[in-house]
Amino acid sequence: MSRFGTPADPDYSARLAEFEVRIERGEKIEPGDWMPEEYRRQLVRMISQHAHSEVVGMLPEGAWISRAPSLKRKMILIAKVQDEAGHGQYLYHAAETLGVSREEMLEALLTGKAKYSSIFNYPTLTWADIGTIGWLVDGAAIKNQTMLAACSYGPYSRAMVRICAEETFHHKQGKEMVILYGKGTPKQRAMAQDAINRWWWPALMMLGPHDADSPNTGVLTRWGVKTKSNDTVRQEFINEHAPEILEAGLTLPDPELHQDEQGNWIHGPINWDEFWAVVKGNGPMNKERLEARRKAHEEGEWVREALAAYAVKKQSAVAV
Amino acid sequence: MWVVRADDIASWTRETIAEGVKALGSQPSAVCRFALFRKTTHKRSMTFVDYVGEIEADSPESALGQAVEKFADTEALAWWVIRLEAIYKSDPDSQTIESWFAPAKEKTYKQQSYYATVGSHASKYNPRAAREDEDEG
Repeated sequence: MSRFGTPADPDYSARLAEFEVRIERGEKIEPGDWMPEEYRRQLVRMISQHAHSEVVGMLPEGAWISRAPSLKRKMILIAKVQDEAGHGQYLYHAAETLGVSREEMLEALLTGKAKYSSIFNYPTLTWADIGTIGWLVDGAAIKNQTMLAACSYGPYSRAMVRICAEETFHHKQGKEMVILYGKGTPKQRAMAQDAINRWWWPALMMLGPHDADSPNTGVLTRWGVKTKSNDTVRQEFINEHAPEILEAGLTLPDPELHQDEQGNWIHGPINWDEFWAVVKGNGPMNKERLEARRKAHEEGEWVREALAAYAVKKQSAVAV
Repeated sequence: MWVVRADDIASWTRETIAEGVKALGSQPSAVCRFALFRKTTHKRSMTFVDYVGEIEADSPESALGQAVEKFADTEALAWWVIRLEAIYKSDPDSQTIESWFAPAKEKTYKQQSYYATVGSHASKYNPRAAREDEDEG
């Protein structure tokens, strides 16, 4: 018996009503519980794309491991990239609880059917980009993931709690670095400012389209997956980061940025054409990211074959 | 540290118990000891279930039945029932255990507290902070 209901099922309305009461009561939906097929489909999409984002996110930063300016920065960067591999694992595992396999998820990524966060389609041009990614990109991710930690699907909410615990290290190491460069030599200050100029708007866009333009927001909110809107999370992000960046002696590439009477930082218009172009595959690094993932998958074929052969060997040894 | 294959975990949620759904991972067995784990809260947590004890039974379903009666102090939202033999347990030697935490003690740069930065709450660009300063006089 399938625990994923569709409107064609005779008991669908009653089941759906019960399910929505559970969500309303703040209950966690766990693997094996009845859920609408649409809930499952949305979560498989969200969680697998979140997992893909972690793994693809290792690429822009991984490119700088060999070029870190000091051993300390290199160890910190390696630890961060290693964490991201782990985060991908937590998330693929959470998605698997919904009945999708790793092979299916990986296939979707490598064929370009599945997306990953738009932010990772931008290049890391200088070392200051590494600090800026930690500060702005992980900063935005923390806001989003803190919101998702309250979501209705148990495995996803628990994965968010684990990830946020490690993400705070990623955030702080980046912030500390950029603040340091902001107070450093003219060359360091210029590098830090240039990085902020290039990453600020993509970080704002990372939190998703305005609520009115977000196609999945309705059902995700109704079923307790999104507990805050994109615009709300974006506002939280700016309210925290704008003062800190200004405090660091740096500027923001938004001539219209100002505070309202309540102290909220109001941003200028976002260039959504750029966002949609990147989402649709026409960002600066989309092609390179996918090629890198495909290459890694092809070059890892021999490892998978070896593991499979070893598993068969162990099985027949046990059988005897 | 205890490790078990996902296939060896027989799991039920309150909903699947109420509906008599067969457990995910339920395999028949002869009489043996089962380890029991239970989820008791919907609150945000890093863990799904907590260990509560052991029971002897001839099947995961029968172990669950006993567990529900024995541990009725609080309503369980989910149960895991696992044959003890299926669990790989690490060496309980204290030096072994200590060695796992050594990197955490050495690699302090993985802790967010290692990075001393001042937050927006104390920034002069945050009007709330400025107002609080004024209040404190």
